[in-house]
Amino acid sequence: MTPGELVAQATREALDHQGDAESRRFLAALQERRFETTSCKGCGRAFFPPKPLCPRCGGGELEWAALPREGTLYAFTTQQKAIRFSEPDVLGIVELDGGAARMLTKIRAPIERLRIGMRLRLDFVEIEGGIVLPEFVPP
Amino acid sequence: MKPVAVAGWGMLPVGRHVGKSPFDLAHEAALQALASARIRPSLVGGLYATPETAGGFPGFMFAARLAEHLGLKTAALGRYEVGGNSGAIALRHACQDVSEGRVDYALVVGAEKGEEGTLGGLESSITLAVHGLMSLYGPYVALYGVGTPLVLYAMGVQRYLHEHDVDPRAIATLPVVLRENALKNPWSYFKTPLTVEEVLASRIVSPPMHLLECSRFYDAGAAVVLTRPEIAGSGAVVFRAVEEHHDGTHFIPWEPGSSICSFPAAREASRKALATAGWTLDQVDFAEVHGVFAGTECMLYEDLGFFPAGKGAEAVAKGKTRLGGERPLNPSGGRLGLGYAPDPTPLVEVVEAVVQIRGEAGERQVRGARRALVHAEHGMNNGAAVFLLEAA
Repeated sequence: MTPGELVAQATREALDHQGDAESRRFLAALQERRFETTSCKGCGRAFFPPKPLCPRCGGGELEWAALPREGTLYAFTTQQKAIRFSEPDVLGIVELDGGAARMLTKIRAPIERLRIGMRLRLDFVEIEGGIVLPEFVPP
Repeated sequence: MKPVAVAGWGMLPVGRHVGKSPFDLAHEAALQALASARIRPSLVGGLYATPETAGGFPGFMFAARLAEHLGLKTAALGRYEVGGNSGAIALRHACQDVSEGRVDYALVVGAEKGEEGTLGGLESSITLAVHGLMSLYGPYVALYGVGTPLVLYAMGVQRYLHEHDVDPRAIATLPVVLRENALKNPWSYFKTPLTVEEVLASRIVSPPMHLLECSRFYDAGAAVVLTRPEIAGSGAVVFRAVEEHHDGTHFIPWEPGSSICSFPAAREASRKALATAGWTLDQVDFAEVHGVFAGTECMLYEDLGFFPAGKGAEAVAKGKTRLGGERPLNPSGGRLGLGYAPDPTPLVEVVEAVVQIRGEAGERQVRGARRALVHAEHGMNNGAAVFLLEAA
């Protein structure tokens, strides 16, 4: 196998071993370009990452709901050494509109263009093994 | 928890122990600690070990094999793994067992072979690396290929600079101060001084962090023997508090708006420890702090209570944390000054605290060192342990 094939296979296996029901569902939805997470019926608020219990109230009555597709850049940097993508990748923390969720994500823009507080919108990136991940870009 | 005394300790110089395995380092540190405590292995009632490698090949039964190798029959045995906090958690459980009388002598051991970069030797095996990183970070971070926590800490430093208008030169002073201390420490790997200009001229690894603001991974090993104060005798150093706090997040605090440059776990562990011991922070003469990156260490100084929010780097730049300063921090040289191996770090810090309190720290002696605070952390400071020690 090529290194890329090895990474793809190991990634699928690692997701099985280290992932959970919620991460599987999150990733499955992304395959169809749906961007969703769990939302607490008790609090009325979504949260990320998806979990079986609401991290805010501990409630277990949840439903899956769409996440906002725009947000604000909270922090960012580049990653020099990575098992996938090309280096240096720009990674950042984006706070999604609505105040319910933030995520660690890849940003498709040169780092020189980025500023804390700037607006970004959701796009998607496919990695080896056909896995689709969120990626954010300037509008 | 009743006070628990340190009966002995062992410490290997931080560096490259070529040809030795983590197992070798662990049992060397253990034997030193037993000799220092003047006890035969048969007296050890509990063995508390950290994994042979942080995030490396998982391994099995390390504590059991180490017990066999040392000839120990114990009432307590375990390998404790909580990332960088591993040694602290092992130590806390050992203190508990000694305090309850389950164990007369507890042996706590941490040893690790460091390797540059992410998961060291695993990089040579793609499959193990992918599994290891998924296990360490979870899917929401690992799928982006994050291979080192450096990337996440770098964002924390970015926010620190942004939120508090911190001068990057002030942060760059910390590796210089710590190297100054390390030059006085025979256990340190580093033997040459550093300047702020050199730190700022070193390449940016993940902005805004410079290479010389990051701890380098080397081999380390440390061990302590704990017992009841009445067995240890006068002159022993005792733990007055051993507290942990884990804030329920892992690397990234996910709640929008929550800080990535200030750590509730460190604040709470420090608060609980001081309350348990009945001390104020002013009564602490020095501290050993588990800071791996210069900017993050400045934040930790704030969270532990030594400086107000946003003022840690400035205090370092003003010389307040130097050996002769008003608030000596990391007299050993710290992780940046000594060289770094995650899992044994809490034990390396405790040994320094003991040596300082006993007045045996030579050139790096903190004058009047009677009371110490030791801090350790597990991920991106989502979990912390704080210990308070003093002469009995």
